[in-house]
Amino acid sequence: MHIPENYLSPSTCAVLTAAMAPVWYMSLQKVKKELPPEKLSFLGVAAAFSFLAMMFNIPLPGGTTGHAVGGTLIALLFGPYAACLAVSVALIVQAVFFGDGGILAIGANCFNMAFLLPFAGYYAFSLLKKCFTSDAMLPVCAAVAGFIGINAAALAAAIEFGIQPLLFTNELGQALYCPYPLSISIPAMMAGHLTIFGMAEAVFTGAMLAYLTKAAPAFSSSTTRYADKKIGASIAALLALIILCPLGLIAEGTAWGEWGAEEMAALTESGVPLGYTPEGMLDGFSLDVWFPDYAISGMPDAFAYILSAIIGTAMLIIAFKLWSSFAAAK
Amino acid sequence: MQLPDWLKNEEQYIPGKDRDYFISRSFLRITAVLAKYGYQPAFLQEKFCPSPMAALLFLLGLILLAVTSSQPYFLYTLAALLLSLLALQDGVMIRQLLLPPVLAAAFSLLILLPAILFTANPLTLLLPCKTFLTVLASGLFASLYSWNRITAAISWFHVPQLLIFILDTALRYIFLLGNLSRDFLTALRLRSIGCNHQKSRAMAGITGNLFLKSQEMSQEMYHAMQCRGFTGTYPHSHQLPWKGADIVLLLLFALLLFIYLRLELLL
Repeated sequence: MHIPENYLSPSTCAVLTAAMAPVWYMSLQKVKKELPPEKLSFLGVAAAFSFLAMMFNIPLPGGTTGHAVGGTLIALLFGPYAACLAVSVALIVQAVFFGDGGILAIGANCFNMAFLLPFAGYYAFSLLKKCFTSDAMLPVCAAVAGFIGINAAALAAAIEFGIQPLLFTNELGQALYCPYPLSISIPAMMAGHLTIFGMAEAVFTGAMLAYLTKAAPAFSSSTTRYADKKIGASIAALLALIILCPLGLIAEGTAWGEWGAEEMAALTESGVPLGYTPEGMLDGFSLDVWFPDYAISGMPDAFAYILSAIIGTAMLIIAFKLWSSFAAAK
Repeated sequence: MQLPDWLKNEEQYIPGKDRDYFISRSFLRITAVLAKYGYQPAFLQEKFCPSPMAALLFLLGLILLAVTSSQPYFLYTLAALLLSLLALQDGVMIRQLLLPPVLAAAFSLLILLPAILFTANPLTLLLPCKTFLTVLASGLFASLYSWNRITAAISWFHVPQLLIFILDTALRYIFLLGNLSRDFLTALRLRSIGCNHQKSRAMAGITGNLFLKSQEMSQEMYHAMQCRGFTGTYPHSHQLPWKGADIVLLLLFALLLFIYLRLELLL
């Protein structure tokens, strides 16, 4: 699932790296706060372990083998923030030192495999654990969580591939990067991940947890400790923001139904340009004063988009915090 | 004295057919990782070698130009540059450096084959070439510097110190834990005679023990750090100076940029 160079446009890579920046920052802060200094050495070793876990071939029923990313397991053992850092470092080492996965695409790969995968797997495990309280079911829950995690990451990668021919074409309409649209990229990616790779991840996560529960019960209790935390509103908000905000950045075209006054004239109806702007739109109320199409004059569009995204994110966080403060006051 | 009947029977042990691919493949991959840690002398003399920060910036710029370019002539220019750098190496090194880009390009070609065959888009054909060039470029970069100098170059980008610390530790422990897992796999292979019906348990045993061992090692490392006066912060004092050779890289990049713009905008 390591996205190589050349398949994603540099702007997509930049957007996903920008989306990862707050996640990395938050993970660093969380880890600094939660981990005692004697555990700092342990993060690097965890990164080395997750790098090596990706090297192992996992035996599957029927004699085949597959690779696991192991992100869910690392999230269950160390907590999702430490897993995010450990897997990110493992991915950086792979890209820079081993040529596995693109260097420009590090942000995109981290977004899929160091953020979506461990967090989705971790929260899936928390939910499953609430449904099945028996200890014997823990490895099964972990296996299912691993399966969900890797498929979430694969779906994200497929979407990233699939939007390339929609957004980045030359004047002849030829795709500049990955040529396959969503209708091909999603089935192609998911076919492998719903079967072999998903199963490898499930076997790896479940079997490892079962082994550790038996061989070193202290670690299974750490799993329970991490997974008992509630899914806070802040996490849900952050997830929603980080996933939703960059979508606007990626979409260069105007959304259907969101045409500006000038664009209305160019709209085509059965192949003939509309040729006029509806009168009511010429001097209607405009919000352009504040956010003129999210662009700031004299600045490149991308910069303005990122600024708008940051402002939007901050405003939403403020809204969430205000809402929770009101909820607490009741 | 007569031999008992059971001793007279001829014994033939033919192990059932079994595929222990997971052991042999994991072994190969881990061995390949460890091989990267072997000492390789840089192909440029120290005084001609640009500073790693400049080289990393140049690499990023080069990859960016390669990825966005739609002109075969620009890719030819890059190929000329990279292949001449490759030609400076010795034969064994060339083989090591050439294998990953060739494999990556072949894989990319395989994936893109339907698009190349069924759509009339000449740009798709460029993608495997670009993959070859970008993987070759990053391989050349990684071969030119020792790993601690590359992490020093990354720290120059004001990456948080904790991340650099994790990166440094990870690079060391990949080697240590890699050696350990190679030993585990060898032990497992020696013991896997005949059919192994519990493959996933065997795998969990190896990775589980590797994990437990990594915990032990991180504890030991912390104690060693404490003995050396670790206080919880990791100042990286390995800042590297810029060099005269960096100007050559700057000029080279300016030239590449000129060619890129000329081809993309004027043709």
